[in-house]
Amino acid sequence: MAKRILSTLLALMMCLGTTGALAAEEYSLPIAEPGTVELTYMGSDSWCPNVSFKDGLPVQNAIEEATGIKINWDVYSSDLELVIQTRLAAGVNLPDITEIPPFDSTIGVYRYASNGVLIPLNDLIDQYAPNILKLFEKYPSLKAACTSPDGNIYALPGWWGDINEVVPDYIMIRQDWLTKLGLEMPTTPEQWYDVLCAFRDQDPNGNGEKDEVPVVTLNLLATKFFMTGFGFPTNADWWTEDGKTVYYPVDSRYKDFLAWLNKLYTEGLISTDIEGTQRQQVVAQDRAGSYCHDPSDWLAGFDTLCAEANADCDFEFVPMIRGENQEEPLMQKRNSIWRYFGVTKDCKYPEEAVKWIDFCYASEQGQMLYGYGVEGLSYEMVDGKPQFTDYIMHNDVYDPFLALRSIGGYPCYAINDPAQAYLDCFKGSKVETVGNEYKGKMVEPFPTMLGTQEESDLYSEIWPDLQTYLEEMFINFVTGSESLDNFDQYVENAYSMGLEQIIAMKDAQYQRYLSVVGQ
Amino acid sequence: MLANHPARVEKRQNALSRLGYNLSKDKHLLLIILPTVLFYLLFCYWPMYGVVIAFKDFNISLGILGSDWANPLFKHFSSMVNSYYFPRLLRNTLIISVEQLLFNFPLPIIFALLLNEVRSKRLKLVAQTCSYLPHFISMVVVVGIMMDLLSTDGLVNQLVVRMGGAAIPFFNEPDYFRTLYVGSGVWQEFGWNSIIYLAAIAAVDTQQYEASIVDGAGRWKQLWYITLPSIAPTIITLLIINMGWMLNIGYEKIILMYNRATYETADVFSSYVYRKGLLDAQYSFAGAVGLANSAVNIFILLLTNAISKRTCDISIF
Repeated sequence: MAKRILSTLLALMMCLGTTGALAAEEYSLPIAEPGTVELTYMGSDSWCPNVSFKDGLPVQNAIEEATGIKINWDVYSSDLELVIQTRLAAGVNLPDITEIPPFDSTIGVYRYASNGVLIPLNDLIDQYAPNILKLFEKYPSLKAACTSPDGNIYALPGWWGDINEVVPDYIMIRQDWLTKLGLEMPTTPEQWYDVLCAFRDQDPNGNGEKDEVPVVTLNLLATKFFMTGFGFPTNADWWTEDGKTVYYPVDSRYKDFLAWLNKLYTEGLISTDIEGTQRQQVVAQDRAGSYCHDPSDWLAGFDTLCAEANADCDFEFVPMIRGENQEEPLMQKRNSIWRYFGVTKDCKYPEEAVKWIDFCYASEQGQMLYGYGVEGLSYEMVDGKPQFTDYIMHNDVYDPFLALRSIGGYPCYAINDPAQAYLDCFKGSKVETVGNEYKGKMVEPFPTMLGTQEESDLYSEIWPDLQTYLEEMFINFVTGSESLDNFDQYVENAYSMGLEQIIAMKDAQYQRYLSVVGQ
Repeated sequence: MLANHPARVEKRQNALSRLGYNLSKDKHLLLIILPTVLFYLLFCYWPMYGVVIAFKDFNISLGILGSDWANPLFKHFSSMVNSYYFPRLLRNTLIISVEQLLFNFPLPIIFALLLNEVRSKRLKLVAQTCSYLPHFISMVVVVGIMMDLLSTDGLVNQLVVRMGGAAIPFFNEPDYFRTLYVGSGVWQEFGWNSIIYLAAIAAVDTQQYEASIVDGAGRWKQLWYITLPSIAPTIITLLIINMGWMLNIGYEKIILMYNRATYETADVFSSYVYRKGLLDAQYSFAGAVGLANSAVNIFILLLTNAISKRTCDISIF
């Protein structure tokens, strides 16, 4: 039964997907005779605490059974970037497939490709990866993001293009506190200020102590999500306005925004926990009034976290913050690109490696395993649709999403997270509701692109210091250790450190993006 | 011709047999030091060729020796000096180093001298043990304890609030960083560092004290005229060695303690190298910064050593 559904789906996909000629042939499973091919994967270990791919999780076992390829997991749950960087720099005993640091930029792809550590995958993909090609056709921005300026593909990114349609990432507020204090949902910066003051002063958690933290943050930098209240059209670092690429930290609107944040901070409305290390603790203690910011699955996660202290805890997304007389700002999707991964020069079976990636990353069967797990264990087919079992929906230890991760679902390698399974496992909860509500309403994130040699050199020369400076000054302005009188000096410094070149580079990449996706 | 002179041959043979004799006599001692020698050879001397990375444009697949020379050769050094953050890094590194020396160095000496005056053996033992226990606590735990105690709702701030003050976010204030960093270091290490002075004091000939008592010297005079001069060579040797480490502030504790709000006073060369070299993988640049740092260290070491040699005739080489 399951097979029939799958093949129907597959056929449907193919009909919808494309009419263009696909060069790659469908490969037959298993990809290799069991026991003949082993590949080493270096990267992040499972995102489910206390669970490791090394222990042979059900989903990974099922993938091994289907593909015949055994994966040796060289995976880490901390200091990942350092470990991989050191291993790659050593240049010997490379894994077959590796994640590519540094994770906060795309520069690693250029660096390791030009060093010859990563091999080009274009021909292999064209020949052996029919499903990846289909994915490229469905998402031109994915293809744009992995095509180097020289036209080669050296790496693929973890892909959240599908799931981000239904996972808004924004600021949450305690709806139950608003109701309790008889307050309206705030939308403008002025209303926000009043609400936060009320949270601070009127003891909404009712313990008689003034211990509420009106704004808890992922880290202090995350408070830039409030920017839309000051004329910014969207809540992102980069966007385009009138065809020009704009970066937020030297925009004229930025100063007013900083002044507002500074007021909030000095009046004790924003958490002083700058790196956000205690955020979960504060939420769990029923002290957080609002939270800035995390993806929507945390709406449920935080309620659970706080449940012991207050069973009525109810986090809700707030509407986009906007200034008076301002056009409706647009919510930008979370970036669809997450950590590139590629095949190294030491890989003895590049063909099998690409087929394995194709199976996990893009095939219908692989996606089923990623999103729904293993039939019989995590889901059953009911009326032709997969339905999660109690093991997932009512797990003793985990919430549904984490339960999926605990058996190896939604893995953190070759990521391509399916959206429907995500909604299904949050069925009937507010996570599903907001997912459907925001679907189609968010704008695409500023495209991630790979740099040319000049761009990469420029970037590694300028960006680290500049980034430190911009972030540090944001924090100094907000906490008040730097006076806003020095704002002009700050802008001048940023330009002298090469900001203009960085903006020009991003703009060039944006133009390349447009030409690749054909707009 | 000279080499075959009979006297010389005999002398060489003598030397050889003496060496053989010494080797076999001290073989146990040599065995004991072997791991240390191997450690230094393997982990300190062998990797040293890698400093050339500071003069190269490091390419992973070509390796350190195979990579092209940087053009110009001192490219990475000049980009370090021209970096926007260079003055701040230099300032922070110097200030923290000096503060560390100022507090970390004399306190163990004072503590050892004080401990030496304690009459009760039991009290002495307890005080000593308690003082060096923190040395065995991992740095991560120490910083964790500090963060707990000093967080805005931690014990210290609860006291501050109870007494009518406003909670201070200690770890977000650049002004507190150095005090916290140096203070916790002193707390952790002064007991441990005093052990060597206690040993030196224990080695002082008791007859000297007895003689001075006969001459009518009190406790204070004994300390000033016998104990201190006796341990002075130890103090000066350790001072020279400490000076050699002057600018070597370990990045580990810094990165545990700092955040973007305290970079202003906390960011030092080693933490900068960590961010830029390891996180951004700019190995050549980081190598240059590290090399410059070590060069300054050696310079300070030689300078201190020379001064000490000239003024009080104590030197480490």
